Amino acid sequence: MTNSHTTTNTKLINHDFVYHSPDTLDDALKCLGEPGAVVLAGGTDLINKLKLETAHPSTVVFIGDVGQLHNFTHAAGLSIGAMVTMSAVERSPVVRRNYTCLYEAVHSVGGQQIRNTATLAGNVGNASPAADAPPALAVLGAQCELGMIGKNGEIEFRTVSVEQIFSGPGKTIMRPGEIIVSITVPEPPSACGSSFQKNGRVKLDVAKASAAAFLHRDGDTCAELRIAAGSVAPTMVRASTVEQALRGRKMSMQAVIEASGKIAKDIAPISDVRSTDCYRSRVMNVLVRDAILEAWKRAEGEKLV
Amino acid sequence: MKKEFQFLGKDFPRKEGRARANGFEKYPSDLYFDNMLYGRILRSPYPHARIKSIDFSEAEKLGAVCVSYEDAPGKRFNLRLVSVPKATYKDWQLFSDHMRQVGDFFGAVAAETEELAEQAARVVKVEWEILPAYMSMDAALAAKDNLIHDKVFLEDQEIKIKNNIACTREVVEGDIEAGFQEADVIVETEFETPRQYHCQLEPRSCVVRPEADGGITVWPTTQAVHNTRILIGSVFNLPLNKVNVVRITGGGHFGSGIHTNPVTLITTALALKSKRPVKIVQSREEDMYDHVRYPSKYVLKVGARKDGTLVAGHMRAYIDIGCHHIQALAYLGVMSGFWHSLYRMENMKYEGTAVYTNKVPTCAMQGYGAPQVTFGVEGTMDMLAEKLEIDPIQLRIKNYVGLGEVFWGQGPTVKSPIFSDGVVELLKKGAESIGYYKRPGSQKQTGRYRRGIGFARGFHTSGTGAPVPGEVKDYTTVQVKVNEDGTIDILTALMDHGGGTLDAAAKIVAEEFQVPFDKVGISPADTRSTGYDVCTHATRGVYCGAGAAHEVAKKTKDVLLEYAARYLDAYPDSLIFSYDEKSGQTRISVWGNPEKTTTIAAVAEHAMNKDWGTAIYSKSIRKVACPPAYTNYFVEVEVDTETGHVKILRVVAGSDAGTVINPILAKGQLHGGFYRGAGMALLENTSYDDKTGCLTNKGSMIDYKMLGIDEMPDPDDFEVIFADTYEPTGPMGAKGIGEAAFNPAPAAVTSAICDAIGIRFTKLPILPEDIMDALGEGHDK
Repeated sequence: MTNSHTTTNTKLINHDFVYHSPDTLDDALKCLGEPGAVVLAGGTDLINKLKLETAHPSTVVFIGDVGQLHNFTHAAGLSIGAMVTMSAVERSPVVRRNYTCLYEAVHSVGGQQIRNTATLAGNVGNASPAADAPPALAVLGAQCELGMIGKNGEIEFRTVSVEQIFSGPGKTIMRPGEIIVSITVPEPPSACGSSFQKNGRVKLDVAKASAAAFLHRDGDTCAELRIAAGSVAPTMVRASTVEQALRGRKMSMQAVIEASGKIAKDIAPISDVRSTDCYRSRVMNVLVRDAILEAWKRAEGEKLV
Repeated sequence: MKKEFQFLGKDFPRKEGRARANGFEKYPSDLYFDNMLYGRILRSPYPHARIKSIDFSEAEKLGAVCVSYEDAPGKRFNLRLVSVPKATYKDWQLFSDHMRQVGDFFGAVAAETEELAEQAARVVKVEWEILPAYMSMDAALAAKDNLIHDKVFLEDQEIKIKNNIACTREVVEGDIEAGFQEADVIVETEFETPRQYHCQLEPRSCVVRPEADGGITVWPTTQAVHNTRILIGSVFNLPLNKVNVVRITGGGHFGSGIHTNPVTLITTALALKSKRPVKIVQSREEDMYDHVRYPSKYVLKVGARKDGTLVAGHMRAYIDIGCHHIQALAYLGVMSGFWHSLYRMENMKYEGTAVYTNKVPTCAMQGYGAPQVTFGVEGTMDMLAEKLEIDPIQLRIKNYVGLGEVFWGQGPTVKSPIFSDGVVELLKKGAESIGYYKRPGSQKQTGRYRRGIGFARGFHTSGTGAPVPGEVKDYTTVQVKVNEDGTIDILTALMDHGGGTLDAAAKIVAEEFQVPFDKVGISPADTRSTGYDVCTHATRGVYCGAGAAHEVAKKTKDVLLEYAARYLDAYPDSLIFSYDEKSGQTRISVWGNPEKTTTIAAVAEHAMNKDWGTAIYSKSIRKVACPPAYTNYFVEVEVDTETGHVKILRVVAGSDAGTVINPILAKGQLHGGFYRGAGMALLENTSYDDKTGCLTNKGSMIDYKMLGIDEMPDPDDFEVIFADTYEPTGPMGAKGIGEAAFNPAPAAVTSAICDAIGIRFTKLPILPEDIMDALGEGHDK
């Protein structure tokens, strides 16, 4: 005899849990120290997981009442608290002007209602290989400030780069009870440009493949290039082969095309419900190339031929 | 040619628009009654299995009321009662121990809250016997035993099923072998169209309340209140005057409510057993396991002479209908009929085979078989035009079935002559507007982005009326009443899916009486207070439904004229109606005698005070024709040859709907129909994991993608042209539009892609992955 239950019931959350909504970071992290506790920020990933029964937390800790987590400053780099929404990031003129790939990545996430509640930190912490913000944050050199209650009962902070935080699909190096408290992004120097390119089934979709590029121009040379790819490996990946092929080189269309063509070495795409490995490989070339060209243009480089 | 009207042809706001916009409109999922229980359906985790035993004891401990096949009447039926009994295969039971798909239902529980019902459902224990599952037509056809159905019934006759073949249909005209002998050019191609999910906003839902007199009141999501009543009466042995099915606004149907949904019967079973009101609102994933569009797979062979005359055609179709008949016989019939009516061919043969598989049961969806057939036929016409070196538009004009010819509205048994035809006008205007003859074509383009212009034409029937009875029932009963203040009420079971069918009826009645639109009301309706209406399907809403309202309105007007004649001391035939905008009154005057004048209100009130009676009339009206509502789409796309993405840049829609009742809504139909048709061409499909029998999207919208507003052209780049036609058999010259708005859309998008990149796709949907594969291989796919 087996239970008859088959389909999920996404009208309900079929799972009991203890719910906390503390108003200080200290209390929040204490609650999160309980075994089986998960953090609730915007909820656009967690609620889906609860309804689809892929998450079974015993405790849910809502951090939206913690005032300091709503802080969003942009003097000498960005500091983005854990509760800062995608739409807040998207609406910032500074982000749009100086951190263009982050604006483009955030703007490409879901619909307006999703972005109004989803948080930037949540998009990182959820650790989906297809997430849009992480490649953009990685090429901008963003850091995550992590916090948890240490053995002495005090909050312990540490800093990990966005690039280093992922350990697998849905997995990060964060310890139990640890959360992203804020994300900081260094201010790009002048003569820099960045771009985020995404391919999905429709515009309102998770990426089939995505690429972010950050480029520092020195005259007609590519002084520095950072590229990250999404949805083509178990985690977001840096495209170091492509980067090396262009770094320090005089820019030309031919050089960009050749370098982009090397992306296959940096990625390991699979076939799934959204696309095929073959298509992802093909389209990744195009996304990387377009991201580099767009970043070059934004770094005020000469039009390449 | 169009006539001049007082009200028709002008934009009007929807009667229920305000209620919908501010949340006052009630849908089945909004209803709440005291003492109400919430139901949850028990479903199979296996694609093919038999239940050895069920243990409800744990669920009952939670206070749940449980029903299963053990306490269900074993009667066989078909959920769809649109066809006559002799053409309706019966393979459904209320509950069965034989599970035929993942998500198939074998019982249900009801409890005090939705959460408790969910818990109860989860503790029901079942002992299963797993059977081999047939997840493809090939596997199903090869099966000798463990069939999905051993037997089905046609009336009381038992029919043994072999090789999982649900039914077959052959339609022959002339002699195709002789016909193909005459052909100079023959094109033979296999076409395939997807299992598109209806994705109506409101999942199929139902509320049932037992009444003190032993009867029940039912609020279902349905397009057919009367057929729902009849089926419930038959399944549960209830007298029909004890089953009251209420017409309630549904949150969209697209064909998924033509048949009575299983949830309606299951909710009824729970309400009858618990003797309490019960509500079931299906989850989205349940809904996706509940119904889906008929797919199609067919080989189409067409022969033509050098001059472009079509001489013979042969269509061999295999249809994967999933695990039940929701009237596949009718589907096979309409495939033959729609094909027959697209282009004239003296020699035609259609062979259709419907095959059971362990998948979601297929049913009608906007267009029924027409988008499927039009896709292949229009693709074939393009290929023939290329081979014959004839302009594709001229080839259509030469061969299309038009004015004076016979149209098959709903398969081979529903036929009538064509009295109005705007095809040539629409093709010419559409080609001109989009610049069809100025397109560069695929050969002359290089670079990443290539543009293409394509087109396709098609139609849908306007209802299933015909001069002689066929396999399909088609009539609507209407009552029109003039109130004592001169306002008018229409009472009918006619359904409105959101396209404005009932508004159209009100507008036509308003025109007949020359009263303003807001003086004509639509009465709330249920099956006890109305006569039979077959269902709103087959694009019959305006032509048949509002057409019936028009015929009855004329009869009511006759009654009013009698009263007015008495009141004015004149003869009824000398009275004329005119609307006086200043007073807001409709005057009835005697011609040539300007002093003899009154108003509708005065006559109606006088008739009451004098005890003459109410001006009221009720009648069932059948239409004796099924005119084609022609549509064509010219589409311009841009294909990104590096990613395979297709962007729709411009659309020019041509619609021959006869008299246009409300232009803004009619345009909305074309926007909507094109939108879903483009989705069928470029994106929408449900596929299966053959190992588990589950949908690969697990019934979730996360992975059932539809086009969004970002994928549609700017509204300014979507032009609508209405043909200048008048349908003499229609209400004030009108015919249908709804499904016609869908049918040529997938073919038109496919044609535009071909014009851009030189690759003709014959299988839908055309995903970017497919385009990249085809471009990589550099040949047709």
